[in-house]
Amino acid sequence: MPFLEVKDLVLGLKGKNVTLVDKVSFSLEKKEILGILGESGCGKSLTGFSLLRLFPPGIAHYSGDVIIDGISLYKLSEEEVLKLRGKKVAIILQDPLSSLNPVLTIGEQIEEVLKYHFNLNKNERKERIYRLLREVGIPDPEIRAKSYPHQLSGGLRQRAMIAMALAGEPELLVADEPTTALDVTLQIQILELLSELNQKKGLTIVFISHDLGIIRWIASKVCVFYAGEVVEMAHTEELFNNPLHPYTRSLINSYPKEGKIKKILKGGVVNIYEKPGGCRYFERCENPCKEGEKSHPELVSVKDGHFVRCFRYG
Amino acid sequence: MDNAVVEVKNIWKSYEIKRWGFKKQSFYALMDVSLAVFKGETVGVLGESGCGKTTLGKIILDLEKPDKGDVLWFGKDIKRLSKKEYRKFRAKIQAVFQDPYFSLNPRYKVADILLEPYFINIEKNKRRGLEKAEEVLSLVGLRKEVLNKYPHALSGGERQRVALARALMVSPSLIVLDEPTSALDTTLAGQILELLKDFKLKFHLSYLLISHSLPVIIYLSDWIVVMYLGRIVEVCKKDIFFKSVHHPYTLMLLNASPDPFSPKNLFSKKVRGEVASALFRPSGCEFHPRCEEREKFCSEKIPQLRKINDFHYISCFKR
Repeated sequence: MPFLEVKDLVLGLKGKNVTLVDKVSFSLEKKEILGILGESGCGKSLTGFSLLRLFPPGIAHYSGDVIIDGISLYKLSEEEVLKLRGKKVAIILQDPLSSLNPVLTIGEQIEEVLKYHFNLNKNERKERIYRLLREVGIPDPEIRAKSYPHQLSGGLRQRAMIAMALAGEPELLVADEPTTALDVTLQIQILELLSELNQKKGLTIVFISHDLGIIRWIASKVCVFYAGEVVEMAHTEELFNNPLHPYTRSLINSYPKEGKIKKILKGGVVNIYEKPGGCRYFERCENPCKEGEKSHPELVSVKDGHFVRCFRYG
Repeated sequence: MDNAVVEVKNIWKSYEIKRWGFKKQSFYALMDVSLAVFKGETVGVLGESGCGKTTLGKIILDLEKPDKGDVLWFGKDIKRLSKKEYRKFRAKIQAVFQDPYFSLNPRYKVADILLEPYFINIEKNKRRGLEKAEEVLSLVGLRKEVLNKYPHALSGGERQRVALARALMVSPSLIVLDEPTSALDTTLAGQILELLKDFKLKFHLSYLLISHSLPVIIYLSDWIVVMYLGRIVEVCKKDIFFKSVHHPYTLMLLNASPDPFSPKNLFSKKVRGEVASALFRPSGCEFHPRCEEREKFCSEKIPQLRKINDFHYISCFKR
């Protein structure tokens, strides 16, 4: 059985019958890194949050299930979910400055997690905090634990946030664009840290990003999102060498390569209030098919582990 | 040789901040920076946050005054321009900023946004102005119905196109592009980059492109300027960029840039450290605390930009 399984996840807004995430299903083995790739507004962050059963205000209905290590997250009571968050699954966010508490020190924020999940005395907690900070590459943890978020630089802040996420010793980490707010030389250090955690501690990671380059190098498996659904899913090598869905192809071709852009994708992201009835990519597709105008394609398996949502295949 | 469209010579710029509420401390955002942009050329300034690249753009636009050094527009020092000349040249130098959400006035319709610079700099004729507006809108790939919309009714990509159209309204010679695609999605960024490349060829436009993204810089630039902590550390012509030996910092940027098409593993090279604060500038070469090839003298002397060949300048003792 896979470690993480998402089954027909649907998230929708109130009233207007707008679905933001539409029947998303994927599964992930332990120690794998799944990359979720997509443009803004495609539902990738919402999917990330839903792995912790956290929903932003405005989400009125949800269905489907998220199964982590055999535990069905959506069938639990609220108290049981609280026990899981941080312990089984944790999240790190894009902007550490706005997601860390500005009036608590780094140490206090990590201690909160430890207090909640473990039965440790004060000294043990202190030791644990220092160990965690050291683990994520923060020098002088004794001093840094007493610092407030604004006293740290961007890179250290993101490291502190990772330390906080790791405090409950989670098995699954959701990383929602953790490096978008950072400079390239810091970005690579954070990516290195995450891939090290994956290899050494066996941490399973769901990595959400809009950057092809990052996904290419960190993920072992990729889901491409478009307008709230998965349009293609494959192992990273396979996806980049042999992209099938026209959207994935355009994404790869519109990335500047050696100073050239192969092809420019026309149009913008689909408006969620006016989703086309047929294939959602129909209007932007360079090679639209007849079926796509009226009916909606299903995600089909093309070959082992490669799925695509397009009438041209399968 | 022709005069450069824009040239800066030995620019120094410092800012002051208040520390601990009352004590003032000044730091240098730019140190001894010189560069020139010629007609039809794109100069790409690459650097991480805090390296002074945006300040450089502002100085070229005359939105900030340098402490020391000269800014030349079309070969003339802007301090010595008459009022009339200044107005004439001012319109020739335009800007497009990173975030189209904040750079367009939310209370103006697109028509007013586009007409304002036209009225001020060209002529106060609404009919001809609107004709021009429709023309530039079609150039940037927008329909003329957009004219009656407010910025909030447009998507991010459309807004950035409007910002670009506004710059084109007065037929500029040079556009300062400050992170023009950072706030956009990959596919939209691709569209804007293509437009920019198009205009460059069509109108012989010059650009000063400011970006932290290597692929964007490589795509659009003729010259690549790498900055670190307020200094230019390398200047290189694009054509030879991938065939040359680089400054250690440029190498670091190259190694850290996640290229999906590279055959080399992203994590094969180690990247260490963070950009030092301009408030606590390292002695000697600013980059030496992070440099893998540093020697003892690197922390003592400041390297100067030296000529490797006609198309390549590096500021490093070891090159």
